[in-house]
Amino acid sequence: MLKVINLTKSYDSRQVLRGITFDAQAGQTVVIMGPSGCGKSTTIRCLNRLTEPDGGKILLNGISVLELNTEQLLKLREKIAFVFQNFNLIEHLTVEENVMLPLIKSDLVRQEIVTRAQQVLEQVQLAERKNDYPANLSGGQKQRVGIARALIIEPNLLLLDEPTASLDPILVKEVLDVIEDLTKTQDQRIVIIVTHQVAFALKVADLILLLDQGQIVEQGHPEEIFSQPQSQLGQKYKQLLDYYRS
Amino acid sequence: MLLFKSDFIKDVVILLLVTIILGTLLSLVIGTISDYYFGDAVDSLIGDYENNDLLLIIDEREKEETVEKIKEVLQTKLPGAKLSTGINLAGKSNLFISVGKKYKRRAVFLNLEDYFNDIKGITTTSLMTEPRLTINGLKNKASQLLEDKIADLDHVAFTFPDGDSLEVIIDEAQFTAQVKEKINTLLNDYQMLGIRFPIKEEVDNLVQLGSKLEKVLKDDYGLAVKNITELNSSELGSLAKTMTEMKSFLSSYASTIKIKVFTGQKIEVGDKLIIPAEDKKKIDLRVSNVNDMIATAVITTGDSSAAVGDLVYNSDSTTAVGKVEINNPRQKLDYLVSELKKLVPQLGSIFNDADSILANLEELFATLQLLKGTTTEIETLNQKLAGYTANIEQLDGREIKANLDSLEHRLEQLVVIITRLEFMRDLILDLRVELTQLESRINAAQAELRVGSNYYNNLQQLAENIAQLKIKVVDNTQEIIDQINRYNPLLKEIKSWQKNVQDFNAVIDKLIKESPQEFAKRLTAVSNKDLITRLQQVRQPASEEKLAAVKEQLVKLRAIDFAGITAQLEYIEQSLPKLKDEEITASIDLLDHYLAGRAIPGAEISLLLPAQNVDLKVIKEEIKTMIPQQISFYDSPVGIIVPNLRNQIYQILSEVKIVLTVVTALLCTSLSLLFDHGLIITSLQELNTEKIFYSNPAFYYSLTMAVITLSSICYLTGIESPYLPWWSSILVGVGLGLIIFKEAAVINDFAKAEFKAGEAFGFNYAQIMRQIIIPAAKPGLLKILNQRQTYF
Repeated sequence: MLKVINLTKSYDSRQVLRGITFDAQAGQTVVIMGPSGCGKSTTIRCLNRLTEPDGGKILLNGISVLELNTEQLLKLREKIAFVFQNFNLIEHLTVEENVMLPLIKSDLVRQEIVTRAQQVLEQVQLAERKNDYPANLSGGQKQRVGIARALIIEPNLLLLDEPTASLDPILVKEVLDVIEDLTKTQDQRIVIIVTHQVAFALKVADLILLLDQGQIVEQGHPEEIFSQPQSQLGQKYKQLLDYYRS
Repeated sequence: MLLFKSDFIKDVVILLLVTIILGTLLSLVIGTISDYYFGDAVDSLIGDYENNDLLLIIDEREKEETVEKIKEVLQTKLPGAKLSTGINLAGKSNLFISVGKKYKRRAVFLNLEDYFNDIKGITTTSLMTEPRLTINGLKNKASQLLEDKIADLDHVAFTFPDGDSLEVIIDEAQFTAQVKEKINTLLNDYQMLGIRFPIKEEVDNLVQLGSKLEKVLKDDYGLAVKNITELNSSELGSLAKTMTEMKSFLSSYASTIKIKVFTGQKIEVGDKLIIPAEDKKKIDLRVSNVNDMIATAVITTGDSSAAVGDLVYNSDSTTAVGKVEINNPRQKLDYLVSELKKLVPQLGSIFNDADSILANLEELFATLQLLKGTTTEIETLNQKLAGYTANIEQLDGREIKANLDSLEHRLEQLVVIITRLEFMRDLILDLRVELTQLESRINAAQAELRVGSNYYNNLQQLAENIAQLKIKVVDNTQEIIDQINRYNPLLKEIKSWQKNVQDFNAVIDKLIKESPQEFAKRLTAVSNKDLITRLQQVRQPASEEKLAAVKEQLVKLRAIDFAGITAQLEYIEQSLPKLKDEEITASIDLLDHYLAGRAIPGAEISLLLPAQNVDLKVIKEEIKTMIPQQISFYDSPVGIIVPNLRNQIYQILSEVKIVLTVVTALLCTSLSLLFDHGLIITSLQELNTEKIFYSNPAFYYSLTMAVITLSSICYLTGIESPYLPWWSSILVGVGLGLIIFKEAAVINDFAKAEFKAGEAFGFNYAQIMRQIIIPAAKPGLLKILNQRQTYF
């Protein structure tokens, strides 16, 4: 279970997060939405301390993340996967090597890592491209490699930071399909996705957090949020959803 | 610092060590290669450092013969010496001589170069013994004073003077700097004070005057002064004097232009004037002096031989400003030579004539003496004949006849003598004419010569001698001629008397027998007392002393070598520079310009003074009171250690080696910093976003790595730059570190997104660097060393 309490973060004098608090249960998919610059990515990066928050508390399965030392944190990250908006693939490694990379420091033998890599690549339907270098892949394929690289560690917490933001609209679907499958097949893993895809959120989210100016203005089940929004931001998303539906 | 917390520090240390070791090795290899390459080239050109003592440059064409002779000298003078051959260049061959150890001493080296003086084909002999220091500018006496002190210094093998220098041979090269320092200390104990007299001022007893100054300064000021005055004139002084002589020589043969300025016209020094010349050209003049209405000028364009007319005009040729009088000594010399050449052949005949006249005059005197005797005898006979008439009864016909025969003979002699006298008179008159002509020619020739010259004096002497000879000949012969002229009217009478005597002598026997009265009457008629009296009146021979004076004058005249004088003048004429007036003026101007710009050293007193605690101002004032002339002072070091060219070349080579080694060390450090540490620096900068540079660990990392790498390589290679202290490598390292800190991201950036991905995987810094960043980096030592740690 993930418990985030009163998380704050400032860059210089600008306060980016103003007391973010939410809970996520094992197996839940949390979608964070909000306008650009509202603190969505900062929130998700604070969860594995890629960005160090200024204050607050993060409890992951009872572990206070912010109190971990470097070594403990690195250990914890072995079970927290992160999918970057810009893929962050290692350009000099092949698709397979990229996927294997997070496990090379584990105790697993090479062959085991290769097998697992094969599995996750098949899961994202890129097994046949395992020997290609990222430069030869499309944006959607790159992101699917990113997702495979996240899945190989079998994370307790999967963080996806706007996974389709860098893709052109045609490629968005192939990535969203993979993520959708992922959310459907997992049971104990908490998935937190930052996205602007309202329909996708409605489809996959167990909990939606609407952030505005560093604060959660509304949170709840998608049906609640998009049928009876309490916040102005919620209203806007409802209108948008209605527009899509019509 | 993150770096120290991760085990990547091991990688950094290994990188650092490997960089230092490789950098050191590379620097040493480059230095050694450069040393080998340049050293080899220079050795063949100037000989191996420290191994040779003498360089002989010889003419390549005579190499074989010269080398044989050199070997002979080496065998006799320096047994065991080694002769080696260097390169041949531009027709010259280099030979190197290495002298045996036992010959490396002062006595040998004093004459070392002289051993080869007599060998033909050697163009240059040069000492090249090393290690050696050369002290230049030492006055001879100062050198004597200092040589013993320098020879006593530690590590000095021996010393010897070489011209104005003192050569100091050192035991081993490593002591050179130490000996140099000690010599400098010694030289710095002294200073030299020069007291210069004005140029061209002759100073008697210069050394004694120096000693006097020495004594005064010792007694009155307690200074340890040493008089080191030398009388040698410097080469510059000789050159300046030669140039002054050259100027004087050219000036004496340059045309002088004298201008009588017309009334109403004004000429100033420096004015440009014109004389019309042949072919409508012009001769340009520059006024050099103006005195009242007389100006002198020099020709700046053209030659005086081409001058037309005697007027001089202003620069635009519109107004005649004066009348010009050109004196061209070269033309005059030419005329003189041609006149003398005409004169010389005539001199022989003149002297022969004079000789013959003298002989004739001597004969004349003898003749006159004979005349005197003859006249006396005639008088005696005449008296005897007169006696016969008084005692006619006792006449002895035979005796009378004998006396008449004798009288007839004497009269015949008298006629001959008087006739000869007439001939001599004509000769004397001719000689007088010739002497007059000769005198006028010599006077004309003399007028063309410069007053005071040797030839002028000779010709003047000649003219005077000729004039005196002429005067003496005229004076002394006039009397003779007058006398001869007086004999002329008598000659007829003598001849008539002679006829009477002959006639009487023919009939004397008959008359004595037939008519003693008639005999007495005829005898009275034959005796001619009146004629004898007149003859005796005429007979006044010229003084023989006067004749001796003329003879002496003629001997003097003959002693003058007219042919020699003419030949010499002709030689001068031919050896005169074939210059026009304009060229002579330009040459004189050039010489003036040079001489004006040169300080021609005059006589000089040199004093050796202590360098410390001496108030030169006071000393100079004191010296001024002792020397009346307008003196000037200069003070200088007693001597200067000059760089030895060969030593310098090797020094340069060693510096080239140092520079190359330093450059290699710098290059290795820079490359390592750029391609290896640069990546680490960039990553550290990325992790630590402190805006103030000194709070950024990357800053200190950059500086530390640069300093450690560079100074370690410099230390291990043993580089000792003569210009930079040992700690300069640290400073350079700091500078390099700063540059790399600022520019690392530009040169060796890395993918930050990949770094973030690594962080997200839970990789520590070392793992991120080893597995993600370094394998993707530019090629470098770090990447090579990292290969053993990469998973893929």
